[in-house]
Amino acid sequence: MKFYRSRFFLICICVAVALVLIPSALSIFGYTDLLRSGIKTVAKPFEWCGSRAAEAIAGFIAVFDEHDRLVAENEALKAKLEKQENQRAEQERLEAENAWLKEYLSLATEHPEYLLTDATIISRESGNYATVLTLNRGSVHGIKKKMPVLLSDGVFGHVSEVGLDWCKVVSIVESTSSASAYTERGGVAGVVEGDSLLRQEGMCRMTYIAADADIRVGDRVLTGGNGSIYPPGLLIGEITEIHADEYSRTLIAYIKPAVDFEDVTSLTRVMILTGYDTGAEVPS
Amino acid sequence: MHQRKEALKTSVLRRVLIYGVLFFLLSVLQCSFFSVLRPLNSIPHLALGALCGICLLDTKESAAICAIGSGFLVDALGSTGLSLSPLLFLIIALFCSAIGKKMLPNFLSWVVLLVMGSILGSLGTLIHVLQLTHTLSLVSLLRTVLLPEFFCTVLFSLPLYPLLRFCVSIADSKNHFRL
Repeated sequence: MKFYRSRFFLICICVAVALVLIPSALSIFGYTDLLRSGIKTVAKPFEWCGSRAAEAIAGFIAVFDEHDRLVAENEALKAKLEKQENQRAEQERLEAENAWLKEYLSLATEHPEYLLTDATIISRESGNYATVLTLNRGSVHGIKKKMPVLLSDGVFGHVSEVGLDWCKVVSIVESTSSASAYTERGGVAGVVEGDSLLRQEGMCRMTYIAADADIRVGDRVLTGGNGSIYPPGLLIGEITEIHADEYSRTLIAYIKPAVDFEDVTSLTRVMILTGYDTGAEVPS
Repeated sequence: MHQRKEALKTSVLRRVLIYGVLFFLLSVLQCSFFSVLRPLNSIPHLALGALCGICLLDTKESAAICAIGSGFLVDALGSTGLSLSPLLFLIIALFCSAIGKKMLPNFLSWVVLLVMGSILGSLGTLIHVLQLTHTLSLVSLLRTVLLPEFFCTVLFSLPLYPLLRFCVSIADSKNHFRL
């Protein structure tokens, strides 16, 4: 208690109050306190050093902050890129589906009497040159043996084997396949059948053509509709070569099918002709 | 008698010099280095931390003079307008000296004084903020200003203890400057 009654304590209080009031009053009235100004001037170089040091440290810390920020930005960009890639893939899928539906529509418009079922290829014949396909449609979907399989380009082949929810398709270039046909220009009849050698080139042949038939290279060959598989008027392909048969007085025409069997691996969908709508109006 | 007066004079001068330099550097550090860096989003009151150390390790008279001087320095370097620091620091110094007198002069006691001093310092900041604005709620003030300032002051003042001990030791023993 001696201290609080001392002159020293009173002086301290007075000085403190004076140092509170005088600078505050001077500051309020807009005057500069000389003592404070002097201290500030002396301290300026030290303050400058302190600020630079702090800025250097802040800059050093900012490198790590920047790293974290960049990592976060990288993650965000990766996520964005992945999203965009997904969108692009989805867009490509939709475009492919759209193209397929257009093909489907063109065939359905051309032949409104056809009852078509679309099918997806789920597997292919093993080997370098595959023209036997397995589709995702079977007996539960109303698929039966010998039903024609079409593309918008023309005839692909026919159903050779049917399972519960799958079926196998043999193309027209297979040696086991044959169909009655005629040429569009001259109406020359014949039989289009597969050949084991021509199959390698994605081609088939038309046989039993009369030796004096009006047939030329470039003639379009259509299905005749005389057999039990294909309806008449479906495009098979185009004649590329004509030869005389060595063993009979007939001609053999080599046909390049409208369906590109050399590029059959890029196929994903086909159409199965499941029946005919007898009430449909056939365009002239 | 004359020799005693001379010794006292020398002791006071030495103290003024050592503590003056110490508080000047701490005020500069507080007002430039830490005001740029702003650890914990606040500026630590290093001068206040050092003052608590003086209160514990030196006499009440030294603490009172240091409080007025450091308060004035802090206001001169880093404040505009109303300057309450000399009075606030003096009150803190007297309070801490009164408590410190009953404590052993060790690190733990200093931490206790530092916490008390920082609380009082935060109260001073509260008065200062309330004088400037009335719109902020107390909870918001506590969260954004007072608590960060308190923790920042305590945390960044802790390394000052060896320096304070050193300064007190070279500033001579307590007995030379006591009324």
